Amino acid sequence: MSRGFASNRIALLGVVLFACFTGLGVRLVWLHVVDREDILRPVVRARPMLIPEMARRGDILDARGARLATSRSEIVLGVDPHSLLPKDRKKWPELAALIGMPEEELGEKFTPRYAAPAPETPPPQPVVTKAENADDGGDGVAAFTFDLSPTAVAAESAGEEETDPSADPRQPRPILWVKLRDDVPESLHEKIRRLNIQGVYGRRVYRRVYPSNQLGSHLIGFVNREQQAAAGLESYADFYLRGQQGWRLGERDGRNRELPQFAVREVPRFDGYNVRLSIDSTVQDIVEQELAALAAKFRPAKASIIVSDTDGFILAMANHPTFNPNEYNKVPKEEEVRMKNVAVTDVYEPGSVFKIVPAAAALEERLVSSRTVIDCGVDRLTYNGRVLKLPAEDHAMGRLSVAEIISHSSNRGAAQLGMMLGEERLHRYASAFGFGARLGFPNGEVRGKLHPVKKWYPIDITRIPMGHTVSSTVLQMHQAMSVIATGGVLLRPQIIRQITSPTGDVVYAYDRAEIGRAVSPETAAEVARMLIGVTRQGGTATNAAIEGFDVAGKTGTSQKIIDGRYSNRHHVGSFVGFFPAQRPRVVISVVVDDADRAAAGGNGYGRVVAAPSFKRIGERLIPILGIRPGGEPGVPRLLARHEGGRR
Amino acid sequence: MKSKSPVFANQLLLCVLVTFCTGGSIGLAAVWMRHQISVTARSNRDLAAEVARLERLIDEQKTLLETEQAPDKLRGLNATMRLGLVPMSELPVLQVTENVIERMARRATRGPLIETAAPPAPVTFRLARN
Repeated sequence: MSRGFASNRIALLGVVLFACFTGLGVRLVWLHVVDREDILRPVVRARPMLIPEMARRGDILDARGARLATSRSEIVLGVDPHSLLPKDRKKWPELAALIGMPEEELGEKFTPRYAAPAPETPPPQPVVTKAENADDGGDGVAAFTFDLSPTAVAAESAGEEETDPSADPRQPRPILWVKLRDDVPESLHEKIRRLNIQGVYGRRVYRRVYPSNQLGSHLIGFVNREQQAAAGLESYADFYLRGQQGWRLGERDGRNRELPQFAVREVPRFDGYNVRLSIDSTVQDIVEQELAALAAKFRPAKASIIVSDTDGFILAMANHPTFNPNEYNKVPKEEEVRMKNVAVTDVYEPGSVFKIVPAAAALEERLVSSRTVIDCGVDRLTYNGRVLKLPAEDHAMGRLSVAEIISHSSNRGAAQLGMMLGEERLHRYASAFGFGARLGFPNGEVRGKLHPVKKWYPIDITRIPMGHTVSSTVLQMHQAMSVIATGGVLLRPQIIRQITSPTGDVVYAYDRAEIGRAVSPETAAEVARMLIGVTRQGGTATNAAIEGFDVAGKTGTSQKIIDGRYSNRHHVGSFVGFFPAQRPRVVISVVVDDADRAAAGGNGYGRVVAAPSFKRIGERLIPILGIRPGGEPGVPRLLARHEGGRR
Repeated sequence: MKSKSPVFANQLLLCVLVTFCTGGSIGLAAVWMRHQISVTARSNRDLAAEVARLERLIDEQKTLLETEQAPDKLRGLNATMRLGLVPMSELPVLQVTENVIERMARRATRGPLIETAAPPAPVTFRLARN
């Protein structure tokens, strides 16, 4: 009896338990299969969380690793006035002191407010990147969108106030975000966080900082507040610098905190690569100091200085006037020309510096030697059946050797060298020296003007050899002189040495790049020897000479075209050269535009306004770059002579 | 038939209890494991956030250092603090125009006894006009 009863009880218990389990199972199936979508819908809408991870823009470094442009993490600090707690009120004065805001203003921003209802017209739909939850099979139940574009992320932190996006736009909407300050440094943000005021929070953004201010600003360019590379290398190397944003798709809890265990998809961010330049900050600073001094003394319209090595790498490039990329938005609209890298964007007639082209060409073609004497006293010559008037000289020259034509800068001598060459060969050599074409400088470079021979006027054969009716950028003239310094090879001007990863690995290294050979090494050496005469006694630029070193260079002074005519009162003075002449280490170009008003004698000749700068820069570079007098000792050698002087 | 019924019930109960215990254990283990996964994930995230925070702070300090070392700022400090620092401009090479051997010999034997005193500066008088 009792056993039967016990058996029944056990059987009953078993049945009850089984029934319970069955019921539980049925309920589970009901919840997970039948009601799944209805239950999941609000959860899936509320819980997904997309966390963008801003990639850090890479640094721009100088040749020694100093940062010329870097990205600093800053916080856009704001408050949700509707989340503030009364207990935190006593912390407000401390917050106000930390962010440097008057307490009254802070109190105003902390007051809960509502935005006026929006007008009836629907707002334009933003272009969005759609992220869909893979688990939902694209059935539309859990589809949600986020705007991941960098502009949108930047814009998100740019607004002063934001309302609740889920609120009815036809009703007054609570303002859930009021910006307090948009440039809170990380260290200050730490202190603010420690105050633990509920409702005060920040959004992290990367801001571009140029620690050296205007140093190399024309080369580096800048990134605007929308985080778009606007100019210079920032724009050119943007592909390497910008990196790639990452994002995490996960879930959040009721307090809006991320639940990392439910992360369903993660795209890691890739920080931008660093770009290491050939620019040497020390050299750049010397150049910019010299430009500032030059500007103070001569008040030119503009001026440019370029320093490069003999592998085509630019060590310094600066222009006057300049600007500070940290404050690019403070440059007045009418002065925006200050932000142009005029050394590559503007052209000028190079004047006498161009004489190295016909001289080198005539030597290369064996038409003359450096000792060949040419009568520079004649003012007319017959060429191709026409009597051509030769250009005027500053003073009577008489009979000069080719070396003297260069050292004395004889226009008529250069014209005769051009006539010996003829149009075709002169054009070919000018092209080989890099005129009339872009040299491949990173950005903004213009090609200058070297007309095809068929467009030349008959008189051009006498004017082009002296650097008229041909125009070039400062960089082109610099590279043309570099042809002599490098032994006859035209090199591509380069400014980027390496692309490196954030961990320091070299991704790509730039090497010397030859465009082509212009003249033979022997001809280049011969021209270099002739150019030494320019800075020696009797030359046109003795004030460019550096004691103990052989300096090879050439002055240039060209008249500016004002109202369609060559002006006698507006000149571009230049000096382009290199040293030591026998084993060149640096090529320096100084071009000063319209310094006539303040120049001695009212003419901004190259020897007056540019040559002294060359000397000062050269002297300061000697200890910094470890330049030693090379080749032959600095014994004066006769390379140029005056008519009737020593021979 | 009668005798088999309690045995079956006992076995069923036992099976249910075993299933219950096993399922419970597995469930608890799963819960514990999920909790551990959450803790580990959160800990990882916190560590990653901390690393990122420190990197940002280091970056900020580096930028600050670079800014303070800007050439114009250093020049300003040089002037304000009256340090008198001047840029290096002296030529590292001295050009010797005289006989090098004689010059070296003179430098090697130079001493207080051999060194001649500097000649006295000439005294000049200027007559005032009345």
